Amino acid sequence: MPERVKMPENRDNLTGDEKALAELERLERAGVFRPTPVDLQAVLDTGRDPRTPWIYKHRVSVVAASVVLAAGVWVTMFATQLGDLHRAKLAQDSRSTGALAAATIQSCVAGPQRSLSRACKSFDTDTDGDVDLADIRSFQIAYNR
Amino acid sequence: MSRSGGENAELPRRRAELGDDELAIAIASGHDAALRELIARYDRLVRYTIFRYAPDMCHADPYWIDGVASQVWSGMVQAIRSDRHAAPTCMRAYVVGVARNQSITALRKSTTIKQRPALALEAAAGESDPSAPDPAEVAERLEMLEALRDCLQGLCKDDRTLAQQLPAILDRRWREASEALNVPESTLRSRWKRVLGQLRGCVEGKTGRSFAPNGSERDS
Repeated sequence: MPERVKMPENRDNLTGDEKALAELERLERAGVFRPTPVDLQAVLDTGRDPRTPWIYKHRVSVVAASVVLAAGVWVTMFATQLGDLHRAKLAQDSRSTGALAAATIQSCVAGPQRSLSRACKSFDTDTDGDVDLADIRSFQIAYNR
Repeated sequence: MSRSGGENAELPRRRAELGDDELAIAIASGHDAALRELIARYDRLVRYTIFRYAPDMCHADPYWIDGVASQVWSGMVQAIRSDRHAAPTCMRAYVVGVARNQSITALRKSTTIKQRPALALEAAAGESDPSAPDPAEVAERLEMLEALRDCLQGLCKDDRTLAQQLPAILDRRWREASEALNVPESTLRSRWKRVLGQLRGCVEGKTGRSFAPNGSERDS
């Protein structure tokens, strides 16, 4: 092992040439002109890019994005289905209500100038005191609107 | 995948003819021959830059500079091979920059807790210091010193023995140097003056510029 280098003492009184020589001497002592012992293979191994696949580098993001996407698709599908179900139910309700009303008005039709029961009063659309064909016409127009 | 040995022959031209950017591309592909060439070109610049930033550490531990220089090369190869870093446009500036950063990092690691605050301040000042040496200046100075070194080695045998007493002469220990060389002190002084003149001419011949402006005048 080389000895520890003793720093030069007083060198203030040097010419410019000698200062350059003194610098050169310090460089020699410090081993600046020695070649660096470099293990090329080790350096290349250190610098080697493992070429990690893109999917592996971003695996967490990919999984998270997939989960979010799947959840979004599921929610959309669920909402669509729910909407369809709701509309179907409404249509069914509407149809059953209409059928019930049609059946009721049928039983209420007694012809002109005939007295009305209490349940049939709501079908007397022209308020002439009976449920006749004119009221059925109004009912059909309102029901199909 | 490891590439060595036979794959080095795939380098399209002789390594010495390759530009720095081509070497960087070859290193990115794993050519150890290209790395060897890059190290051969810039190792001294790396070591000189480290020395400029941490002369005391370099003097205190002769192996410290080897460790930091190795880290510089590892870091550079890592940066070159990383997809995020394109090949540097100016390798010389890049090398000086990496060596400077590694020196500061290594200094921070190797300095004791007690010394650390002062060092951090010093390093921070260096980072923002507009007078911090620029890579071209560092490289030029190194080129001059290498030329001076070559010139010293090219001296005749007698003058080379004189150069062996350089530390004593520079410390103005003339008597000690003259006794070691077995020549009278006055002869030593006159020979030293002549050698300095020779070196000045040699360096100017190699680099085209004086290695010490007003070099023959005494700086006080």
